[in-house]
Amino acid sequence: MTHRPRSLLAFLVLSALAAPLLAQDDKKLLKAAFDRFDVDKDGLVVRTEFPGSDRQFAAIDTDKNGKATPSEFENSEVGKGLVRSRYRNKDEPRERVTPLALLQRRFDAVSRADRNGDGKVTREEWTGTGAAFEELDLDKDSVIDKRDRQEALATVPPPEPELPEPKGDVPGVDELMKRFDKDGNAVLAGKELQDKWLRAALPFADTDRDGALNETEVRRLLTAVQQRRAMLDESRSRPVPYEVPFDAWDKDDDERVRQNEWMGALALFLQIDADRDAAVSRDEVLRYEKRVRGNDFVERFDLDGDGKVTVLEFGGPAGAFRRADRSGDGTVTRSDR
Amino acid sequence: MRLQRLLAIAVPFAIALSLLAALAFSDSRAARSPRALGAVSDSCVRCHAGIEDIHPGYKLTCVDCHGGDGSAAAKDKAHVLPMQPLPGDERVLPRNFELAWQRFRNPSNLRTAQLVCGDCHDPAVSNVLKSLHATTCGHLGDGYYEHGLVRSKTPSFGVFAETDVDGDVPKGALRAVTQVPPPPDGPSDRIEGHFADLPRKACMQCHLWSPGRAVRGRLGMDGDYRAEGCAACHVTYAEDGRSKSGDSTIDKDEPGHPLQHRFTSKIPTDTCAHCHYGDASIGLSFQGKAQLVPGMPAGPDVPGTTSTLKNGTFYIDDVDLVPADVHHQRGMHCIDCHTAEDVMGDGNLWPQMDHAVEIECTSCHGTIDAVSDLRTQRGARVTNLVQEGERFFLVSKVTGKRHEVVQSKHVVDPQHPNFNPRASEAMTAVHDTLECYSCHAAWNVDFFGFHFDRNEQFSQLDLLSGRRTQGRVTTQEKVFATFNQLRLGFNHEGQVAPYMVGFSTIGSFHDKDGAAYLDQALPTSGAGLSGVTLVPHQTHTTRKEARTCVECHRSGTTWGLGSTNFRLAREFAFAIDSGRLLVQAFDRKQPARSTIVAELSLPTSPRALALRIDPTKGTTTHVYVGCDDGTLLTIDANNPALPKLVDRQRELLEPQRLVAQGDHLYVADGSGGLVVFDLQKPDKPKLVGTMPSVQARSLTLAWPWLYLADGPGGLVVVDIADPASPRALSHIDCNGESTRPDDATDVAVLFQYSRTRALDPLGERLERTRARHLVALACGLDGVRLVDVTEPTSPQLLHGDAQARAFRSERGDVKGIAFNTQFDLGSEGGGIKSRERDYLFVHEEYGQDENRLTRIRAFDVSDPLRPVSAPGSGQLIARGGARLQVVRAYNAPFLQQFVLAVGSAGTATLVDASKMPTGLQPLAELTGASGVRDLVVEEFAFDRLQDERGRWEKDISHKDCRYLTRDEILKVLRAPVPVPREAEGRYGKIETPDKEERR
Repeated sequence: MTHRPRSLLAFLVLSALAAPLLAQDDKKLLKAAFDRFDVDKDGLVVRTEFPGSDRQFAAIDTDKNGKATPSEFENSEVGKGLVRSRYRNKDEPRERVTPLALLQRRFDAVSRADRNGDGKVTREEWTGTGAAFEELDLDKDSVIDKRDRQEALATVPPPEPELPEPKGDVPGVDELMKRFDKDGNAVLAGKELQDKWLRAALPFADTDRDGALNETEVRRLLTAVQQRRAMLDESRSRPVPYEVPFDAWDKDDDERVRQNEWMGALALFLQIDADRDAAVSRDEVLRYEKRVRGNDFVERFDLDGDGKVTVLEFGGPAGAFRRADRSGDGTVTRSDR
Repeated sequence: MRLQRLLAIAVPFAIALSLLAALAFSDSRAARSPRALGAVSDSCVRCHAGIEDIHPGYKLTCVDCHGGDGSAAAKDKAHVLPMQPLPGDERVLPRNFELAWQRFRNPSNLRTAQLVCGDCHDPAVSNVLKSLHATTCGHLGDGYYEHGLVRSKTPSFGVFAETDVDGDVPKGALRAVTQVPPPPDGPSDRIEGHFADLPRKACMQCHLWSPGRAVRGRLGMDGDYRAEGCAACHVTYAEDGRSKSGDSTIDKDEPGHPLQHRFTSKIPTDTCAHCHYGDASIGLSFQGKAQLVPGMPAGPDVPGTTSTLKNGTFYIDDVDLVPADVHHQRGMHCIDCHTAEDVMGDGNLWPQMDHAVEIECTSCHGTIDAVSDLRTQRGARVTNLVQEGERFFLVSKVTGKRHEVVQSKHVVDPQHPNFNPRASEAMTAVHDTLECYSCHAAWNVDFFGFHFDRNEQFSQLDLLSGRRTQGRVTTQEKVFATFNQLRLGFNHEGQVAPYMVGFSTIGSFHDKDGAAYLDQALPTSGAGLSGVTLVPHQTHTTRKEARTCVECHRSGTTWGLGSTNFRLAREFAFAIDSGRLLVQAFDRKQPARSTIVAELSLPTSPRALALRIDPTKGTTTHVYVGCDDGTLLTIDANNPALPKLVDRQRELLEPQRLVAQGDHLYVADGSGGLVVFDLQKPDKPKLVGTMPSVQARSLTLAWPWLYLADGPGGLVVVDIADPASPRALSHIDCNGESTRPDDATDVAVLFQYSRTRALDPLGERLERTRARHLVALACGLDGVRLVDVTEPTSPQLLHGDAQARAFRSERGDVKGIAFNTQFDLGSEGGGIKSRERDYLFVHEEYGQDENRLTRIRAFDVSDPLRPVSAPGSGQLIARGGARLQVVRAYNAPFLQQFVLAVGSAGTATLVDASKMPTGLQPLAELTGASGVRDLVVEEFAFDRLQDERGRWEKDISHKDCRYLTRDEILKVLRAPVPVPREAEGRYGKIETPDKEERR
C-alpha cells in the first residue's frame, strides 16, 4: 500500500503533461462521464455518486463544498485522467496485429534465447522444440540470426484489405443469390459479382479458392457479418439483466407495480423496491436499471444511494458478500478495496 | 577357612535378601488387594439367577465389583441408588458424579475402574486413563490446531484433564492435558470460532468416558451398542444390542445390553468396529468396507454394498473397489497385531495414534536385512509371535489359529523359496525410508472436505457441561470421495507414509435469524497455513499386490503438488468479453442465477485470462489477462467486487492460454512459444523464461512437466523445474504424417493411479491396472489423441482400433478438452456399479457444413486404450465454445460436477456431469455473460499440499511430519525406474486415419 501515493502522484503528473492533448472529443467524453456519475441528474456529483477514491474527489471538488460541478470536473486533472483511462480507450480502435508485426515480434521473442548476446541463436542456446527451430532457421545453417529474420520478413505478403463493412441491411442468402446469380448455376462468379462490397469480400469469403462464391460461402459470409454486427450492437448498448415491462404490469395505472401485480421473481422485486413500501415505482425501476449498468459493485447494488451496499441490497450468495466486505462491518463501500 | 568365611557372610546376606523379598512380595500383594473380597452376594443371585460368572479366572462376588448390599432382600436396598437426580440426557457425566451409583451400574467405568479393577490389573487401568482411547487428545489437538484455535501442534486438551505423574515422559509424549474448553466468545465472521463449538457438542461420545451414541433402550443403533470404560472392549455386545444372558431379569427385547455377563480378552474385530467406523476409519477399511458416498444406492438389493444396517447405515462392500486387508482375509483380528500397550496405553500420554502404537510391520515380517526379532519398536516382546527354526508363526489371540509370517529378508533372497523377483527390485536399501504400507496399501480412502454447519437458530447440549447453549452443530460429512489416489509424505518417524485427510473442514454458519452468514468457509491453521490438512495414516488395506513404481516416481500429485481433480468452486467467476473484465458471483445452488457484480473496462482487447488463487482461502488475489496486442494486464482482485487494474506490460506476442500456478504464470503465447512470468510480486509479473515453439495454443501442468499443445507442432513436453529456462524434453507428432502439420489446439493431463480388480469373487487375488500419466490432445479435424507421457522423454501415442471407434465423429473438429476423475453413483438395482472413473470431456463441432453444430461429448477413459463413450450422443451447446473447465460445486450433502464451455462468440454454458452413467445433462447458461472470450471459476484445490518451491500450502497437524522438499521430489521424479509401455505395433504405431474419417 505504500506505493499508492506515489502512483497517484505519477498519475497526476502524467495527466497534467497530457492535458494539452485533450481534444474536442475528450470534452464530450468528460461531459458523458459527468452525466454518468450524476445519478440523480441534479447537475452535481456528490461523493457517494463518484466512483473514485476520496482523494480523487477532493482533487475535483476545488471549492470543497462536497459537490463537484461540471466545470470543476472538466478542469480537473483527475477527471481528464479518468476519461482517458476508462472511456477513451474503450472506443479507440484496437491495434490490428499484422502478420508482419507478428513475425517481427516472434523474432524478438526468439532473441531472448540468445544468451551470449552475439545476435545469433544456436542449437545449444535453443531450449524450444526442434520443429520451431527448423521453422525459423530459413537458411538451414543451424543458427537463427539476422539473415533468417530478413528472409522471413521478406516472405510476408502485403497486408490484405479488411473486409469492408456492408452498407444498409444485408440481404438474405436466397435474395442475394437470386439477385446476382444471373446464369442460375448457384455460383456467383466473375461478372456476376456486380456489387462492390461482394467483390471486396471475395478474397476472404472464397474459401475453396475457385474465384467464385457458392451458396455455402455466401451463407458463411453473411453469418459472419451478422455475428459481427451483433457484437457491435452488444458493445454499444449494455444489456439490462432484467427488463421490467412497467406499463404492462402496472394494470391499475397508478404508476406503482404492487406485489400482486408483479410478474417477475420476488427477489428482483425486493431488490428494486428500495423504499420498502411493497410497491415498485417507475423511478425505482429506472434507478435500478441505472445501477445494474454501473461499473463496480457499489454502483450496481447501492440501491438507496448512501454509498454503501448491505447484504439485503446485494441479494446474492452470502459467501460473495463476505468476500466483498473486507472490513467486516456488514456493508461494502469503495474503501473495502 | 576361606569358604567358611564366605559362607558366614553369604548366608546371612541371602537370608536378609529373602526376608526383604518376602516383605516386598507381601507388600505388593497387600497393595494389589486393599479391599476385602468375597463380600456376600447371596441376594443378588437370588434375583439374577442364571447370570454368567464374569470373571471365572479369579473368584469374585457381585458386590466385590458392583458394590451394593448383597445381603439385602429388597431391590432398592440391595441396589445402589443415585443420591441426586440423574440428568436424563446423553451428557458425559462429570468424573466424580455419583461414583457409588456409577460403580454399581458398570464397575469398569473409568471413573471407578481404578478402584474396582485396578487392584489386580494395575498398571493397565491407570494406563487406560492416559491412553488415546480415553483422552481423545489426538483428534482434539488436530482440530484445534487446524482451526487456528491453538498455535502448537502438541495436543493440550482431553475429554478430562489428565497428567502423567510417574515422572517418565518420553520424547514426543505429553506431560498433561486439560479438559477441552467451551468455545470462546469472539467474532462470528471467522469459521474457526464456530468450529470451537463442535468438539464438546459432537465429539464427546466416541471415547471410553462415554457409553457411545446407543444408549440403552434406543432402537435402531445396530453396531453402536457398547459399554463405557474397560467393558467397552472386554464385554461383547451383539450387533442389535440384545442380551443372550441367562440372567432372567434382563429384558431380552431391549437393546443396549451386553451379549452376556462375561469378560473376554479375545476381542474380535467386530468389537473394535463398534467405534472405528467413521469416515476413513480403519475398522471398516481392514474388513474391506467403506462409508457410502452421499447419494449412493445401497442395501440388500444393491450388489457391492452391505445387506444389513450397521451404525445406522449400509456400507460399500465391493471386492473390486475396497478389497479387505490381507490380514483380515487370513482370519486375523485387530488384536492379533496390536499389543495391549497399543490399545490400552503404556502409561504415557501420547499425542496421536501413530505415536501410541508400537507395533510395526517389521515387528513380525522383519526387514530385508534381518528376520523378525519378535519385538515391537519399543522393544517389547510380541507375545503371540513364535519362531520355529527359519519359520515364524503368529498365533491368533482370538481364534488360536497359527499364521505363518513371511519374512521380508526371504522375499528378496534369491536362494529362498519365498523369493519374489519383482519384490526384490523394489525392496532395496534405497526404499528404507518407506513404510511398507506406502506401496502395499491396496486403496486409500479419502474424503476431501468435511463439511459442518453451525446454526444459531437452535441450541444444543454441551456434552461436558450438560447445558444447552446457542448453536446447533451438524456435520454433513464428505465432499469428495476417492479410493484410488495416493499422497505421500514423511511421518514423525521420518518414514514415508500415505497421507489422508485429517478434518479437512469446510464450514457454514447461519445466524440467529437463519441467514447464511458464512458459506463453505475454510480454516487457517495455527501456523497461518490452510487448515484443510492431510496427515500420515496407516490405511489398514495391506495387500501383497503393491503399487507400481511410476505412482511415486512419475507423479508430482503423489507428493502434494495437486491435480486437476478435487477442486471446489468458490464464490466468484471471472470472464472477459471484447473489452471488459466481468466479475460474476457464482451461485453454486443455481448457477444460472449467477450475476455480474462488477466489471472493469480494459484498455485493450483481451483474449485469455488466468487467476492467482490464495492457497489458504481459495480466493482470487489477481487476474492476469493476455490481450490481442500482446499486452499482459494485471488486475488486483483481492476484493473481487472492486477490481483494479494495477499493471500492464507488453511482453507477449499472441497469448492463447494462461495458467497461474504457485509463483508462476505460464502463457501459451502462440508464435511466441511458452512464456513464463514470476509472480512473487503479484502486482507486477516479471518475465523470467521463454521457450520458442511453433504455435503454442494451450498448456497444462503436472510439475515439473508442462504439456504444450503446439498447434502444427503437436504435443511438446517441457521441463519447467527451472521456470527461468523451460526446456523441451520431447514432442510427439499427433497425426503421424510428417508432411502434414498437426492441429493441437488444447491439452489436458491426468495421472491415473492403479486400481484394484479382484480376480475371484472373494477378492483373494487382486490385479492392479496400469498407472500412467495421460495427456489428451484436442487435434481439430484429427480428433482426440491420447498420449502416455509417463516417461516424459519418450511419450507414446496410444492409438488402437477400440479407441478410434469410440472417438469417431462425423467431420468432428475438436477444439477443447478436459479431464475429471469422479466417483460415479451406480444404479439402484446394481446394474451400474458405483465406481471411480476417469472422464474425458471433448468440445467439438460436427455435422455437415450447412448444419454444423457444437457439442460436448464425454468418454470414460479409465482404460485409455478402450475408451467408452458416455450414454447419449453428447450435449449440444451454444456455438463458439473452445475452452472447457470442469467446475465442482458442493451443495450439502451432494457434490455436483459441471462442464463449463466458453467460447469467443458464444456464451458460457454449463452442462451437468454429476451423473455420468446416464450421460451429460443440459443445465444452464451463465446469465449476463454473452460474448465471453474466456471464463475461469476460482477454485480451492484440496489435494495441493505444497507449491513448486516446496512451500507448504496445507498444514500438517502432527508434529515432526513433513512433505518432501522440492529437491527430494525432483530426485524421486527423475529417478530411473522401469516405465511400462504398450506393446509396439498394437498401440505404438499410428494407424493413419482414413481420409473419410478426417474430413
